[in-house]
Amino acid sequence: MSTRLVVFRGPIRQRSKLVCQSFGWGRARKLCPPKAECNGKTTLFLGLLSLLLEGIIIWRARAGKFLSRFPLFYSYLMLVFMGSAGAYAARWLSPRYYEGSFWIFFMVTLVAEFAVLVEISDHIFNSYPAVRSLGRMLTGAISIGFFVFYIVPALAVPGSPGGHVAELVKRSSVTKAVIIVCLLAVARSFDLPMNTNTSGMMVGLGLYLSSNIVNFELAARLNRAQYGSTFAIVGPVSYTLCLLVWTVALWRYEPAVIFSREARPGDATLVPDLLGRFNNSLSRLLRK
Amino acid sequence: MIPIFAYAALAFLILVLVVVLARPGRPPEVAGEKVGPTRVPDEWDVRWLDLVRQIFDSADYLWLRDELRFPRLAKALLSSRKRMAICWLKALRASFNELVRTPDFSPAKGQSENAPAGWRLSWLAVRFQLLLIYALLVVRLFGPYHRLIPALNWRRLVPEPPLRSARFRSANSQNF
Repeated sequence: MSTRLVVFRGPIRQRSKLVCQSFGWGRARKLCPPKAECNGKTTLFLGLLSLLLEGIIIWRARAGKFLSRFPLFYSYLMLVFMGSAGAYAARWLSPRYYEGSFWIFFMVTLVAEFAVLVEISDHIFNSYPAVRSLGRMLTGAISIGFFVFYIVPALAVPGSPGGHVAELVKRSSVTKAVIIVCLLAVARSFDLPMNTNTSGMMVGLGLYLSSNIVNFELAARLNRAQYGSTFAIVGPVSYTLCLLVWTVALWRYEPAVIFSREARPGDATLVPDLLGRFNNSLSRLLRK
Repeated sequence: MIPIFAYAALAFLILVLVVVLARPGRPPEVAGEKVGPTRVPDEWDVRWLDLVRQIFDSADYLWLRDELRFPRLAKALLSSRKRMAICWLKALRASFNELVRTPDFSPAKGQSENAPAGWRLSWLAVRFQLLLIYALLVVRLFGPYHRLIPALNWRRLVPEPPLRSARFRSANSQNF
């Protein structure tokens, strides 16, 4: 068995390595599985492709001057891009430093993905004063609720560190996916417009998260011989597909608000009063 | 094996929902679509409120059914009133959604500015939307003359002690 390390790039690839090692799929003191068992050339190709796509997305936003329109999303993308580049550099220059900094980067990227959700919710709801806070309210409530009642109980059960890591990634992916579905459902119930940028961000992230859920569940249940090589390839493939969707969706900027013909400046100031009247009328109707 | 299938089904469901719900689209009034069957007038005038009262008033239906003894006619009236009630609720919802979609023309504000007011507004909007969805469900399932708030008849399953006045009445009737 070859002991040469495979350096995956980006959060999902690093999680793949971590779980391989944590489940005992790699050597005890290495962070990633042997090359022969994880299709090293394929993952390396996918890693480089992802790096390229991330670079293209950032370059397009910079050229189109819309980096500031999605500050949290592009901050996340830059974090992953620089982290991945740093991981490559660390692999060649100082493998020990890379191993040490792995956990920090891993936790940061896991939490940073929530920033993409906040960005999406802001972009959908922020232009409308009546529901401006709704996106963040939903995102915060679901995150806290799932963390307390879904993620923490799984981590409180005694078990192997690898099992805990797989549960953490899987359950946080479920939480993020539920947030996306809830945001979409609420936006649809109010007939809020959805542009290509926001839709693409959600479809890409949804694809990545749903494959993450299945991949980590299978990794937790099956052994290395059954699922080891597939596990290491599914993550990078789904992340690359996610980046492809983001590249197409964010090729050019579309404004979040499409103004109605009847909308006039000053209309927004009347919204609280009208909302109050709507609620009073409905309350009277319910009392009957 | 069951958790694997459960999570695979969940992931598939999430993916389908995201792809279906995330279709890019424009609001109906911008896309030139007809907003619902009717539209609530801008001014909440007396005629419009009278129409609402008539739709949800069961007096005509009860008069036809109980006093004139025309059950089939009463049933036809009920079904037409049900359709009108659904149309009215949909129109109300379309107008409300249009109000919610009123964009803010002022320069971009931070989330922290007027945060409590924004949260209250969001809560009012969600409350109204949920109640409308509930009302539509009740009207579709039980018709326009059903109470929106359950009557809690199940409480009668629990034996209640007789009222003191009722006991006195029975005692008095026995005496006389």
